[in-house]
Amino acid sequence: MSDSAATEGGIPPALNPRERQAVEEIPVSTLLERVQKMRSEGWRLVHAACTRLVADQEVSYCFDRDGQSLVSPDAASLHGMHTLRVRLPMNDPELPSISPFYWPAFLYENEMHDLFGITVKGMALDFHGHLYTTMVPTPYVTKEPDHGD
Amino acid sequence: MGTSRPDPTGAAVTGGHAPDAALRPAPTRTVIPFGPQHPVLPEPIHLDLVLEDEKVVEAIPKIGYVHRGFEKLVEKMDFNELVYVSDRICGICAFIHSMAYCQGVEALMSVEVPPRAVFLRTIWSELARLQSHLLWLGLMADAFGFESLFMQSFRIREKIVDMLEEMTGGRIILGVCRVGGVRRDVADDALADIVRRVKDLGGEMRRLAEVFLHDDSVRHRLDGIGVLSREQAAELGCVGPMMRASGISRDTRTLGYAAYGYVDFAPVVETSGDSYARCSVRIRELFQSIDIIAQAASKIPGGEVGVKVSGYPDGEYHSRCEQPRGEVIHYVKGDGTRYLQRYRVRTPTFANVPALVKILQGCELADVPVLVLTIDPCISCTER
Repeated sequence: MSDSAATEGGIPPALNPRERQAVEEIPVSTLLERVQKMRSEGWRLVHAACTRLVADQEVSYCFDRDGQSLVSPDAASLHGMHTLRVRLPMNDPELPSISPFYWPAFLYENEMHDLFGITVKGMALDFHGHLYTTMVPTPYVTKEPDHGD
Repeated sequence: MGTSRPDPTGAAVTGGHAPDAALRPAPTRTVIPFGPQHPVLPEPIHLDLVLEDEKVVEAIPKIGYVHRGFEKLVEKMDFNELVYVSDRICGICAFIHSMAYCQGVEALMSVEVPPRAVFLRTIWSELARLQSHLLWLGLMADAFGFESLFMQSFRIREKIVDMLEEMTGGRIILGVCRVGGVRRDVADDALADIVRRVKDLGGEMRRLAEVFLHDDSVRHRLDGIGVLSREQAAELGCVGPMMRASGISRDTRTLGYAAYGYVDFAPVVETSGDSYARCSVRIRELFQSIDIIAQAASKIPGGEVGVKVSGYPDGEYHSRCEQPRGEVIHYVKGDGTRYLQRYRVRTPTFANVPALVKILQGCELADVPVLVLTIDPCISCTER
């Protein structure tokens, strides 16, 4: 790195360091407001994913602003990500699209729809369930994990 | 001609040219399906190209033809077995996928990887970048019909792949990463020999670069084609050379993961944002990788290359690395059992598809194959 910590005060940089990553759980009703704020503050959308849990499912939107963490900007780690997380019910999950603020989000949102059955309203580009073509019918249904043992 | 009439823009139109313009037929729009099977595409992606004459006015992407759904394998394979799966996400940049996955699981389990293993990971990552960029250069040359350049790119790449085979036993899918370290060590003298050979190859790469950067016919196909401004690159969430060619100095390696904190380098940046800039970034990164390999090999400490790992992953982590195509993210979430709760990979191509849509708007039909290739699309990664 050009700005390697090795050059600052003779302190060797950490080998294989880990990022500080914060997760902030928010209600669905405030999602657009929070995303709009992230956008206005210059955060970059780096990732969005859905995870099915036992009773519900969570959708995570992950942001980065040149490695700064919103929650702990003065944390020991120099870098980090900030994740906004909403929880959705298993049945008839529905979300507003964040593509008015982050246009490229349409790919993540179509994936959420196709693979997890989440209805995302207002996507910039809606593939109507045809983003992915899979042999296994989608949305995937997760029952008891088949661990094969 | 004292008459005036409104034109479609709302302005009053007067004068002798107006009637001709009014009589000119509106341009007809044609939709041309491009892909998923096309001579220039090694992997399936489809674009609906909306044309006015020869100009693309809109492009609608479609992926998902070979979606493998391997992320669902977390229900069947434990966190150690998934290393093999992550190694097979891509047939070009396999090693960095497995490294990113292992880094994620190691973060969940607080595993400290031995320093020698961390340096070996760095060296193999850069060799993987070299062979991937050389592959792209070859495919690019093939796309604009420069077959001898294609051949020379692949000839040099073959030597890199041979080195990887000598060190790991694998040519593309190396299979050397594991949670807690790496599976193989490389003797110091063998490592010194690799560095010497890679540096020698640098001379051959320089001759290759000379043609890519200065040949008239190459520049004619790349200069000013598919310009993506700095603002657009930021807006569209671009990553990797696609982003750096538009003037944004961001490279995930500067986070210092693996041993990147111990090597001296700076992101390779160009500012013109066109296809030539994207080509130039990748070419300059070839020499950067050679330098990083030499630095890492000179600093690699001795010792073990792996530690025993006990317990199961608990918690969540976004592990990110710089692939040849840009930032890749491996999201791992565990609940304290052998099986991960969630594993998702956001590949660089997934992040660059929206930018592809934008650079295609306004281009000539003949430039579409070149523009598709300038994002260095890796659909097999994206269809993980």
